[in-house]
Amino acid sequence: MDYIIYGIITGCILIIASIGFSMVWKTENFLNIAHGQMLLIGAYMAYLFKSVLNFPFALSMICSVIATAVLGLLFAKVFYFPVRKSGILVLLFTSIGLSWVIYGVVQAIVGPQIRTFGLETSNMIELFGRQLLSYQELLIILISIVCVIVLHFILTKTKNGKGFRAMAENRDLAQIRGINSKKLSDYVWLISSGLAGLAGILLAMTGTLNMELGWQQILIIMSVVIVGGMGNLYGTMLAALIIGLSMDVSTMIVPTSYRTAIAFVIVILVLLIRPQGLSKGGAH
Amino acid sequence: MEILVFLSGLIALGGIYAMLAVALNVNGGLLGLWDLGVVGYFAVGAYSYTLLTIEAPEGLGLPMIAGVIGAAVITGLLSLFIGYTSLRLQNEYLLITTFAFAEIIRIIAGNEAWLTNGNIGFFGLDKPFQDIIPGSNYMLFFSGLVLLTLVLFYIFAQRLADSPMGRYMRAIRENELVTQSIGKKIFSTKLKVFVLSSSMVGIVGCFYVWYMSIIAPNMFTSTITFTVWTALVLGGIGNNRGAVMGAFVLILVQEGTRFIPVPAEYSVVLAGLRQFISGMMLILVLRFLPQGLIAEKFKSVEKLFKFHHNSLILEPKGVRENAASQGAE
Repeated sequence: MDYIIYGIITGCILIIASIGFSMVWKTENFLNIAHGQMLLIGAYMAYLFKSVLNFPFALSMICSVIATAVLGLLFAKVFYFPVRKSGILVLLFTSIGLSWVIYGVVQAIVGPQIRTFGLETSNMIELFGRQLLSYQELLIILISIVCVIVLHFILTKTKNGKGFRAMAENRDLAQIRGINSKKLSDYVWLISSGLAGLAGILLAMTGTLNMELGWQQILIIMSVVIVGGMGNLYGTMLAALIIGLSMDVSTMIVPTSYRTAIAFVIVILVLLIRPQGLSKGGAH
Repeated sequence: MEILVFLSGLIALGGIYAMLAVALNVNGGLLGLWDLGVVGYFAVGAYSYTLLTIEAPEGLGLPMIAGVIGAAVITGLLSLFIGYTSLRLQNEYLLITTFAFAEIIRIIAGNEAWLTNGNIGFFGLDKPFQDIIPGSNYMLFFSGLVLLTLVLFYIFAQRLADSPMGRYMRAIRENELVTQSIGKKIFSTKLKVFVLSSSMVGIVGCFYVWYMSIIAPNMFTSTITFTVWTALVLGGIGNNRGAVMGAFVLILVQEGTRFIPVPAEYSVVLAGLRQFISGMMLILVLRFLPQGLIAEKFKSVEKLFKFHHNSLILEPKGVRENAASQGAE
């Protein structure tokens, strides 16, 4: 039972982490490797606000998400937009270069020691006489549910959200129909980076802050997005839950250190059996 | 003397990465496969060499040369399996599958203690001709050995690139459908080249073991894959000279700064700065020289038969779109 709860929490964090990646892939058509490092930035920003500037935790979370979102847009404007014309391989390698730049700068600032947010351990919620999950874990699940609902609302009900979906299907056609693709792609980068920052904070809440967080997560994020079908947001959410659950539930059978390997085995199997992903969103 | 040892160490490491870049250029550059699994074959080569040559009970205690050949064969067989399952996939999907395979290999190496001695690995491994060469000069000799092998790798890759097979590989890279339509077997070519390139990487694994004289799973993180790809992109995709140059430039920047004397409290800043410079280099090269430091050149048929004196067909000078700008639409 505990394993299932852990799996759901992992899945919820993965949802938040991968939606942004998926959105960028869908609109810009490249794998943004630097997305993993945005998680790192988000987590350390929150640490900065919480432990150095002594903000309350909720406020430092919000500040960090906003700061990461703005930074993400800035990075996109400085690094990605000028090379957009050169094709996806150049964009892909630019994002790898950017990952190294971010990683190097963060490392130079924070140093090698492992940190935590220093949150006091909260009480467990009891249900039917057994301890189920802590308030922090409940908070993580709630935040991700709220994120999913808000995103769903934005994508289906607002003008910009509909514009985004149109642009993801066919950028040129969307532009012809009068959708301001420049403004929209700014929004996409803002939302994507903000979500990445949020995921970084949540991840650091469940464990520790360390430098390898970005590199470790980007692999799993890519797996989730592939399993979910290219750029399909709802497929991605489902895939995040499936991979999160199977990673944690599998630790009952195989050693814990094989946890991430399970995610990769799933990806390989899915790609071999259903190259288009779980859901058929991936119009190529 | 100190500086000589340091320099030869730098050359040895640069040479190892240059060999990796040349091997990767065969399938990543010429054939245009997005292969992010380099470190996986590297690890398999290194581990199979170690397990074949180390004394019993852990290993088989075979002579070194058998270990090197064994490393190439085992890596080739494994990549045959990986290639057979994943080469049907395109671009991003291939990239992630090979990446996933490499991670699985690393995780297995860290956990199957009966085979690989887990996270501890093996240390104090023998180096070639260790008994003949005195210890103080050994690095000098070793860098020579690396350079010699690099030359062999380079000649082999260059011959391959100039052969009909090499042209055919570029044709697949530029347009798979057209190549298929003139009756070429795409999948089996990809598989052949993939296995060849991986076996080359497996051989380089042996050199890495000799260089480090230890082997452990944490030596084989995905950073190596990214470093090799960065070297290849820096130097120019599809170009063996570029691959060698990119690798040496990158290693010089990364390792050269390691020996700048700084107070201990700044060493972390310096380590961060190193990553920063590598990343910035990659970004700037892509931005201003999308074809890398040396752009890929073609030996055209006209040139081969010395037709170019009276031919109207002129070679385009570095304006050709290469793999880096594929899919730009």
